[in-house]
Amino acid sequence: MWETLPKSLSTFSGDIDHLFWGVTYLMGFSYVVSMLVIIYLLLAFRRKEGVKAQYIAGESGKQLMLIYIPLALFVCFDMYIDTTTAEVWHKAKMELPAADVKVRAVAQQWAWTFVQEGNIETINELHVPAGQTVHVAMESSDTLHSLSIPIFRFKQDVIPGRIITGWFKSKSFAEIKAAKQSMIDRYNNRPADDKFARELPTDDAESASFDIQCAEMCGVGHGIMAARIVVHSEKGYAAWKASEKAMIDEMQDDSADAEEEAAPAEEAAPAEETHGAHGTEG
Amino acid sequence: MAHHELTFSEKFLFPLDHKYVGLQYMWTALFMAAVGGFMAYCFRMQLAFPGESVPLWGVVTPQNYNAFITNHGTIMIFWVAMPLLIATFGNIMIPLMIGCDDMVFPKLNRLSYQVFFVSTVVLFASYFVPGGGFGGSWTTYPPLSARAEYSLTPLGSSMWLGAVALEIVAFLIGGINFLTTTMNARAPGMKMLDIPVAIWMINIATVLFMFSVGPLVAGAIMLLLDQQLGTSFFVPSGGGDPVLFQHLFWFFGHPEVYIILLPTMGFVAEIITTFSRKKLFGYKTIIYTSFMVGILSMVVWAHHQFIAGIDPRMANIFSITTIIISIPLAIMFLAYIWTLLGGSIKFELPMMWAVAFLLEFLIGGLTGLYLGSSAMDIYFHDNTFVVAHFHYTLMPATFFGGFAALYHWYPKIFGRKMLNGVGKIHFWGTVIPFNCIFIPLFLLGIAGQHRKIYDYTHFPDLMQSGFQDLRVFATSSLVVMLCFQFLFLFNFVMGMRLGEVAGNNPWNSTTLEWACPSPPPHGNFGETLPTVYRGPYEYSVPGSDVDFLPQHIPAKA
Repeated sequence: MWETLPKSLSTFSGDIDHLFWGVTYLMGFSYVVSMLVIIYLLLAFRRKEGVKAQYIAGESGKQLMLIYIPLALFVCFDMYIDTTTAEVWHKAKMELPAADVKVRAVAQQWAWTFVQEGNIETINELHVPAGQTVHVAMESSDTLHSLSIPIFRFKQDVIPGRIITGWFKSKSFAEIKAAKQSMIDRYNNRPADDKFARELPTDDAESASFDIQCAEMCGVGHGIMAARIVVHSEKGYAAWKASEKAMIDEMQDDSADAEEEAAPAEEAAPAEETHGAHGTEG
Repeated sequence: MAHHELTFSEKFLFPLDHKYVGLQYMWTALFMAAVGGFMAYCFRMQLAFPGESVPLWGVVTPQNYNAFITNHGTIMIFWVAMPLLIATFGNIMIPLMIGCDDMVFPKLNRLSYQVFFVSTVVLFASYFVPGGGFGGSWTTYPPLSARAEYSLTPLGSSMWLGAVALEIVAFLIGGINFLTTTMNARAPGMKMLDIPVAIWMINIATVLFMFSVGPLVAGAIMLLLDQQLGTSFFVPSGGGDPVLFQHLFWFFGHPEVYIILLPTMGFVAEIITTFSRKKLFGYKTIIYTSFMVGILSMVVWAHHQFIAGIDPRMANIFSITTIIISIPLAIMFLAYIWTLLGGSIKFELPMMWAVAFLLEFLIGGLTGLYLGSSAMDIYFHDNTFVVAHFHYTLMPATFFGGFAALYHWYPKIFGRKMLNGVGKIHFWGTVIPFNCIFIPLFLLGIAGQHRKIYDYTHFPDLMQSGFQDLRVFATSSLVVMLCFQFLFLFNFVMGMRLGEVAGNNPWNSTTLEWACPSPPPHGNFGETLPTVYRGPYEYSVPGSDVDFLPQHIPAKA
């Protein structure tokens, strides 16, 4: 019934999960050992008639070994966490692999606008192709927001006045579709009287969709600032783009008002390109 | 000073006596804890039963929800943890435990509470102004907090900020008093390393507060100007930088965690030594590592901002410092554990709470290592895993440590013990539901649930089978836990009438506060102040026929 971490579907999500489980084993071990020691001490040294407590100052070198030996082990745990963290962090946040697809993500109170190449705009739906490196250039027109895509272990605060570029590359479409299918199966297996469960939004054969969250308090509507990421197969992405393009062309033919379809961010404060979060080189 | 009988006004309205100032802080803190708990009840009910009317409140609107989570955090930190742990016990216990008749600046002490009282009034007033209370979360990040058109609380946000600023002023005034008193008014014979750990910790916390709070005050003033005069210190469209505020905030915000933790570590040291009849294991080690905690806590702040737009290279440095701070804390924790070794442990109520603090805080401490790792923080930032983590640190520090200290010193303050049976029911009725609230939050956080969201039904992936059941379970546990607090209130009030009469030293403890009558009269120790002959934890000394040697009793020739 219960899965711990959600599906792990980007190239670096597995590394983050691996670190998570590594730390869980180490901390679980530390916890269990500490608990056993404390419970033993509490039980073994309960007050008994006529037994006087010992006088231990804990000042001599020999007594302090009781602290420093477990501490040395814990320092080793710390070093594992530090080194692995640096490695994973570097991969996810400091490298910026060349882009196959570039998307702008414009946050505002309380919706996401995603702009694809060719000025295809979608509201609260981010369409990306599977298996390709996607650059997301994030900007905000009002307050802080944060673009969080849990299945990719992707998260980045979006700051007005800056354009921050993040990246992810999903696993192959087959893997994504299989992961989605197992989510759907689990949904369908829920008990009949589970009044809280909701239906998952349905996908077509060439796509799979997942949650996008806003993960930084952005005002009264923060709780409804939900979006979906739609991961397409390569074929599906091309088809989706073509159909969107056709729709835009049609609208432009129909009406001169289409001029007003400019990207909303152009009305916002002039943004300054930074490398604040991703990639230190220009 | 001629000691006379205090009038009603001198005791309860405008007291100069440190004990009555402490009691003013205590009653205010307990009242605010009830308010903060009620807010938690309201927003947890909304999460468990979205959109339904909450008994005793009504429908929780998004504005209500945001104001509740914001003020719950603010109240629990600034109006419960600090006044209870630092101001209440600092005021009452510092003069008693160092053996003097009062604080060195009693009028400053009175002023401190008066400013604090005004801050409380301002905070409450902020809920009733047009637009309602501030809802931008207790971290008050701009630009949301800097502009009324974003926050929709034109007055609420400024009053919230003003209330916090006044609270800080109150604690600076009080803190000056704590430090000066401890440095200058100790009983004859009490050397630095004869000071009980509780007093050390309150003073270290005070110093830490003074060092770290400056940048926050500067940030708060700039933010106030942004709100009310339309300046742009933190608003990018006018050339400001919102991330700067985060640095100023967290430069204070992280040490604040240790400002709350350290006093409780001190109280727990007093309690576990008393109830296991043991000398504290590694007194000096504990004092020195707590200095190290204080210093390190000032260079870890940016771990709150790993993905907030700081230079990613900086994250590496802050990740390492954050993980390193686990070392001094592990030393302190191990010293506390080994204090139990070879003891003669009796599970009186203060001891039960102290042990509960150690066991629960352990979970909070260990889960901190997940979040100190910048790489994992990509996933866990603003996730309910964080919420569960810091409640496992701050709840034990504030309430478990607070209860431990209240049960321990209640006989000193009121002259009677609290009722044992009721206390035990209250203990289990608090500790078990506490875990039942926050373990589901860990699980939901790992499953991807982000925080500060008033209605999860908008996120299909977070409405999977079983998820809502966990939310309902957490909320139900909260309601149970809150109900059990009425028992505490009952015990606290009735203990003054029905409790066992305590005498000067009900726990056979060694520190100086047990040398004076319970409750201590005005002037505490009578005509002659005590003289100190030894360190604070001389329990079960070999060759002695009693198992404790109080600090003030001279050695037999």
